[in-house]
Amino acid sequence: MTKNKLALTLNLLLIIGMLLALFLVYEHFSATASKYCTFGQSFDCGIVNKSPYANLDGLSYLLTIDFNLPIPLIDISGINWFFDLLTSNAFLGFLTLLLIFALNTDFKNKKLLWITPENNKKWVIGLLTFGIIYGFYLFLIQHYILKTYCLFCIILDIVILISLIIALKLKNEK
Amino acid sequence: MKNKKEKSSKIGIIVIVTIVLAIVLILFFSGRKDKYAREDIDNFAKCLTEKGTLMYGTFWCPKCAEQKKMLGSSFQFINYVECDARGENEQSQLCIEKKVEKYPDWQFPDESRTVGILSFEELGAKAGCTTPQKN
Repeated sequence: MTKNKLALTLNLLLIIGMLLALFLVYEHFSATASKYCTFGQSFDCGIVNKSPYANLDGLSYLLTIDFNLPIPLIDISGINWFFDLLTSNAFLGFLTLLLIFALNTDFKNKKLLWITPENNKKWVIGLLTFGIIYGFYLFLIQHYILKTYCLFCIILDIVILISLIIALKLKNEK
Repeated sequence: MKNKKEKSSKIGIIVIVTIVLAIVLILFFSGRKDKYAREDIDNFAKCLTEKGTLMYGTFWCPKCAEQKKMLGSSFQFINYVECDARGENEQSQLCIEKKVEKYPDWQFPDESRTVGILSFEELGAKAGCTTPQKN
């Protein structure tokens, strides 16, 4: 596959990832779980996306409530809906994928935020690797704590994994 | 070229430091949101249990999580009954016997029950425990 085709495939995957992330944001805030991703007891997006682990401060909930560690509970998401959105894994995932998409798109070699064009690939790989690690942590939460899986979250993890493989291939292409 | 690179890496460091500082400040102020002394909530939770108050819930129920968040680390002192057979230390049979259908379901010393997220004031009044005082 040529370099251009690889970059295009990566962007397509990132668009799919962003759409999935937006759907998960909707699931996070909707009153009831969507029928599209609820299959019996084993697959329930509603439970996963409405759980306290669906936000960044879910780690604090895990340590304080599940592990009974005598540390203060951090509840930024509980302040109001804005902080709930700002700290939700789905929304942060969407923003991260948007940044990766922008980095992977050639804007006439212009600098994006503080990232220079020559560092673009490093940032793309770094952010995707972080996404995989965080996705794995969330998968462990689904498996061991919630005992139910979010199908769209797992598809998103797979999309990120394939994106990382393509980004690594792109880095090696000359 | 080298100058440009150095400048952009400096901006990068400034942005990262700003983000980290913002996170630290948010964490600091979110911690201060807790208006009760931890010791008071601990004693309140212990009192609820001593009086025979029970909380029926499931590990996956979002409202139970909200109730747990309210109590924070003091939740460990609450007499909690896990109603889902897949949960840790589950007592699903007891929940069936008690006809628990919605969560969280609080059972008080007088055997009365209330479904939903309850405030410290509501819990204290029903269980006969002194409510923690706001700082």
